[in-house]
Amino acid sequence: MKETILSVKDLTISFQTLDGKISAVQGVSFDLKKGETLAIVGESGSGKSVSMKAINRVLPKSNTKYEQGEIVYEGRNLLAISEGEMEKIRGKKIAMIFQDPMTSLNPTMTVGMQIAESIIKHQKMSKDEAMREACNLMDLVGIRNPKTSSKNYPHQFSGGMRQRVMIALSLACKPDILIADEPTTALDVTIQAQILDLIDELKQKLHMSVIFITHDLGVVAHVADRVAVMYAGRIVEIGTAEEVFYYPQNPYTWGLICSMPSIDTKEAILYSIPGAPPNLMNMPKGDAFAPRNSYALAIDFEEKPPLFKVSESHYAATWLLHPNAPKVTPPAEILRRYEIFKSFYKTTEEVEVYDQCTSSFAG
Amino acid sequence: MNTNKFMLVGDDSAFGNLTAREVYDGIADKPNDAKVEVVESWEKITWRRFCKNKVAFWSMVLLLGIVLMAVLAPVIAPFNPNTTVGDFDAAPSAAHLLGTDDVGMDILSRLIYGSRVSLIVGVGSVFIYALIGITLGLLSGYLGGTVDGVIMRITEVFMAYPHFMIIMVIVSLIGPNMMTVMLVMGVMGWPPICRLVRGEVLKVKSMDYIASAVVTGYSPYTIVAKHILPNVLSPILVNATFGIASAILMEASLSFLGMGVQPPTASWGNMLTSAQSLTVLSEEPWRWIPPGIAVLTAVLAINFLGDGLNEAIGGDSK
Repeated sequence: MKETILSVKDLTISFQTLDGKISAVQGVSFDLKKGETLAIVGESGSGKSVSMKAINRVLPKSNTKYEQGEIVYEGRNLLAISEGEMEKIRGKKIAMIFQDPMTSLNPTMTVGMQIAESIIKHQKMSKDEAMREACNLMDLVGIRNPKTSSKNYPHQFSGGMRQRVMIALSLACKPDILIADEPTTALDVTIQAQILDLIDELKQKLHMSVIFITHDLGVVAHVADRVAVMYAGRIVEIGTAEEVFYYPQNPYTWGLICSMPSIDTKEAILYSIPGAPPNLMNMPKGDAFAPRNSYALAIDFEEKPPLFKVSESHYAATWLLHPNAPKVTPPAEILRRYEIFKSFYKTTEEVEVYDQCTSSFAG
Repeated sequence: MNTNKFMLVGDDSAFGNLTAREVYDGIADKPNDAKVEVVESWEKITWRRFCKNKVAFWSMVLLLGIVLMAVLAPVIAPFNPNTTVGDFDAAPSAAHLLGTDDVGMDILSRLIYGSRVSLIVGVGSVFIYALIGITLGLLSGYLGGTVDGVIMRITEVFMAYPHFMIIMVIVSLIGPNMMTVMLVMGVMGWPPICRLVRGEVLKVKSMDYIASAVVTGYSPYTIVAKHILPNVLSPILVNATFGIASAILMEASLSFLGMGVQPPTASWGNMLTSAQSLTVLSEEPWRWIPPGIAVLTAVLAINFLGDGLNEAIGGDSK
């Protein structure tokens, strides 16, 4: 078992707006292990970005309320330390990459200087040394002629190149944790794979842990070791990438996977989950997904499902896993994946554990 | 020879023995390498765009001429501007190119020295109010909340009073001279620029690169000084340019009314005072036409320059 580097416990965040209180994150808990890539998947408004911004504490101070929970890093609760302490952690220990590389760089500063500035701030180097280090970093992320291009302004770079600069900037101080907030959403498909590979490669080289926020399951499959699926401010399923992709338990995850086109898709019309995410201002009673869920049980409208344990690493919040729940048949695509999962693990002992789980739930 | 219509004319030998991947990389590399060659800073680009606007360019040349005239006044002025050097009310002649005024001072020399007053008051007062306005605007926009509320209410109070009247009252209380005019205009003029800066800061503050600066761990001071200020400078620059023009006009108006620079010190405004008399207005045009033209050209040139800057920076010109 790898050691845990960051631990989020029961994080609950709400925003005070003129229309009332918005419960953006409701009791999110997860651990980030050293050297792993955790992907957080969910629709817009599911609270994935908010919970990640909370880790770096960059949510607007005026209307954000951290209701409860803690974020533990190096034995300290990041929600309780002072702003000055936080400044030392941001960038140096926990770095972040944003979605849109076109607007994430300061247009009035050369890119080399932007990278160097971070090095000067956190590593107390001289300007010349920092500039040289910046060139090394630009070389590392695959920007050609770093000496010349470091003197250029952001507008002289293409989108993919800017995202590389952003990555170089976030790596400037060799952070322990890199939070990538949809780093490929604004890029061309051809560039996306390059950037994903780059982040993965750098993760290995620098021994970082990466949190990937995305709504693109294709991206998740590409990079993630573990996956957390979020819906309406809660984690509804979390497990290793194989478990979530090939042995999903939550009907919401089923819906997400079925709505993803694959080479094997034969239907003319791609499946989509009916309805829209709930209004976070007045959440329905019980499971937030119940109104859209064709597998909803009566209890789903009454009470929120807790996270049921599927395996050591796999948890899902759905009443279907309760011993008393009726046995339902997942969509054909999911059953197909169960088969793949079983054949994949046939030779290992794990398959028994999983079979036990299913049988106990079925009974 | 129509058989070759479908012949491959592209140079397929260029692919040689490369794999598809290498070919792809090769194609992907070219634009980047090409881009790297172009190292043109924002200032250079703006300058190039500015130079395309002929009116703005020549206005700038004219203004540089006026600045040069002000700096070199002791060298180029033919006479001491503040003493009697010839006949009273003499029409232009070879000795006094633009004639003399009612106490026999040389108009040309006074005109040349007068440019100093106009430029000092214009630039000086704008400098003072830009300093106050930018500082308060940055604070107000970046901190928000109570600080913002207080600063904005003060701004509104300042803007609610008739400007010219307040300045006249204060100047007559402290005593009119160049320094007071400049100071009073500087202290009274900051609210518009403060509002402008605040608005720009609010716009820039929501940009991703500011969020990015925050997660990189910069202190609020660094973020404001290095990441916000440079990005709100362009509109400030344009506004300040126009501000200089209005400050010059304001000084001329005050001096015309006798509340500004006092004779014998020469200023374009107090030279125009003579035009208050009907006789001078109708019979001695050399006493009021030159300073009038001087104010007009300076103000027009500054406004054209401002327009040119606005276009060059804003990027929405033809």
